[in-house]
Amino acid sequence: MTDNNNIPNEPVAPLPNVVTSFRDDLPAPIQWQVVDTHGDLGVGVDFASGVMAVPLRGDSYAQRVQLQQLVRARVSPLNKEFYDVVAKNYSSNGISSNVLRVAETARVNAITEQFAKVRGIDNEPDGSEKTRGKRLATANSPQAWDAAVEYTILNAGTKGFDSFAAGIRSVNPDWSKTLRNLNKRVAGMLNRPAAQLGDTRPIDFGEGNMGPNGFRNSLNIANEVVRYLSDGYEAPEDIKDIKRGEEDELAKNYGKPDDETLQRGQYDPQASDLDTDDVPDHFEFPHDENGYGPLRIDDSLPLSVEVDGYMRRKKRAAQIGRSIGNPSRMLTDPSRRVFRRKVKVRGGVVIVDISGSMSLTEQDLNDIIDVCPASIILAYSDVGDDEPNAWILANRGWRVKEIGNIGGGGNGVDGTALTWGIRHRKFGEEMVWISDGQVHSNTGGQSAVTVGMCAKLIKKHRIIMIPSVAEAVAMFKRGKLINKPAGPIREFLLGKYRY
Amino acid sequence: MANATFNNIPVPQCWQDFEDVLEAGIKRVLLIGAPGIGKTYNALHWGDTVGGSFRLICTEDMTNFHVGGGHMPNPAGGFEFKPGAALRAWLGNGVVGGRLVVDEIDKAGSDVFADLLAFLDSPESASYMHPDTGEIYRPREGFSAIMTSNIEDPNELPQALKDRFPVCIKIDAAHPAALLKLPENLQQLAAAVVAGQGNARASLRAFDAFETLRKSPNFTPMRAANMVFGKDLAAAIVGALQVGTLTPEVTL
Repeated sequence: MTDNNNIPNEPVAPLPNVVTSFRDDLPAPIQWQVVDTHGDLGVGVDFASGVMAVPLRGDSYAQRVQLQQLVRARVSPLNKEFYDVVAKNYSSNGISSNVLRVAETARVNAITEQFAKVRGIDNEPDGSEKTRGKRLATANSPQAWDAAVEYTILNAGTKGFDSFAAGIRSVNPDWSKTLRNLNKRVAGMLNRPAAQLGDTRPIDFGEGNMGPNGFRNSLNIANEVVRYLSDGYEAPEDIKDIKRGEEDELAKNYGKPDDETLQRGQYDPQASDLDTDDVPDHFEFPHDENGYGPLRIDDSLPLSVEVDGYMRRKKRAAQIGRSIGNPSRMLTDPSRRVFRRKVKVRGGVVIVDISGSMSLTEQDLNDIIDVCPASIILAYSDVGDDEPNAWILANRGWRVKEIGNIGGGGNGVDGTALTWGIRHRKFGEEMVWISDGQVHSNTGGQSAVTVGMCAKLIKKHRIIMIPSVAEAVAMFKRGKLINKPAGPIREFLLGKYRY
Repeated sequence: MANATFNNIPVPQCWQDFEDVLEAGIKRVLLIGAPGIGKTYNALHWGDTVGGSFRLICTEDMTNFHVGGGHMPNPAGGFEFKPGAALRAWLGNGVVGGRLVVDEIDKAGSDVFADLLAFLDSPESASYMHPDTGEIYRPREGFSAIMTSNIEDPNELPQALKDRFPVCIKIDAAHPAALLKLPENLQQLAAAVVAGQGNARASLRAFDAFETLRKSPNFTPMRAANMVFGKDLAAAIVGALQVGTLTPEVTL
């Protein structure tokens, strides 16, 4: 009796149709096409078009990639959009779709490892892991830290991670300690039989978004990972500081990355909801829990003091112009500056949040009036009971004499104060909002709607937000206003608002 | 009917199409698809076959004898007319016409092909004269013909033949009836492998052979798989079975 098991054949492609036939959540069989790739380039599984792209060579590396993609075809969610919807549902935990994808790959890798061990193609460290660890620790940037976190979860519980951590430790022992903690936690989460990790019985992940039951493991990992990313609680302090600085720069630009210097992190929310197209030009807030209360401007504060240098602006002698104002200068001025030109005074609108959280004194308000006398300055704070909640402290050359005891109450009218300012702003003028970003609605609550609309307004109208009076005064004196969004407004602009 | 089942196994769409077409009264159907997927088996057995099923396997060496019939020596030392598969299908069980199943018609020679065209013509035009008695035969009511081929594209067939088989169904999955002949633990695996493509597929016959070898005390399951599927495909099947069942230690 002979068998023909040594007859040479062409390499047989993996059988995704067999693998996916065992899924519990597949509505109809997928007609798979297996496509050869060169190395890692283009490797993946596309359920929609029924394509599995893997290297079809027979070496152990190719076999391992084939195995990993077979496992992905067996256990992963069928729709690409699934990750986005789940990320949106869990955004309050700080989870982005990219974090979910990495967590899912960690789950796939953990299942793959169980099969790879049986087949003798499990990952053995080759030294490159240690070099990678050293390189990332040396870079000491939020991006490098995030890459180290990613490597850790993708290789949790493997010898490869141990080698990687050794490389990290040789440069930065603190990093190594934190990453080992992460490794321990994730490896513990993934230390389950393949059948449990890869369960594909469909369950609801929120709002009817059905996905495989085993994906709950990925969700748990994602929840763990966000705590360790560069803006997470467990990240090293120096990394968090650098990350905060990068986000400040991004917030200055209203959360909009550019191609050169401002970039979102790989695991940050990629698509913030901050599309301002839905904000009409003359938008006004409703006066309910999704809006802000009406402004009641106190007219008992007379604008009785004239500001120097605005109403009686001197005119400046000039060599060129349209009207001759100083003919005598033809003889007396060596530069013959016979024309007269108006001195332009920089105006604008300044909205000041004087609620209790700002802790402003009368002197603080006087300081603001002193540095921008030509502006309209509106201070606001809601004290309830139909009492006045806004005060005009200056108006293009005139200012109040004594401010008195105003403000110190709640917010309540942040949005309506902003829209009031937008209405009173002249073309080309700056508009400044001095606020810590803690905005509250008519009913005292805070929601994505009320915060979001304020964030959209400041982005749409390029309003410069400054978190404190001291900083605002310094900027006015310096003559350079820098947008520094703060509080929930900043978080919303960065797409990280938790609600 | 998209969600029909056969003994609780979902019926693939291609077989559902086949059933619906026959039920609607179509008498000429062309089935194309990979070898060993169950085309002929179902063509012989599926639907109304009261009049009997008559199979005709076309090869380059076949003659008109196999189609219409011819003379054979008889025990009395003379010759006797023996009807071919097509004529027998016409006559059926003597009451209603039977079903002619023509395998691999693209391999038939030109004279056989011409004879087949005559037998597959519309009932009003088709006739055959007995060479001895001069009796004229016509297809009985209920005669049907199903043609099977491994070709990928029905346009490869001659126009006259295509015209006689206006309904063409591509069979890309095994029929549940064929799968049920296999042991339960092989059915799902066989369904997926049979529906595969290229060198990553095996036929239902291969699974039958595998099951026979597996029962033999001389074979381990893996040796039987290597023997039937070849070493590489056997390894791929086992690997896919392990991942599919999410059981690293499972084997055939």
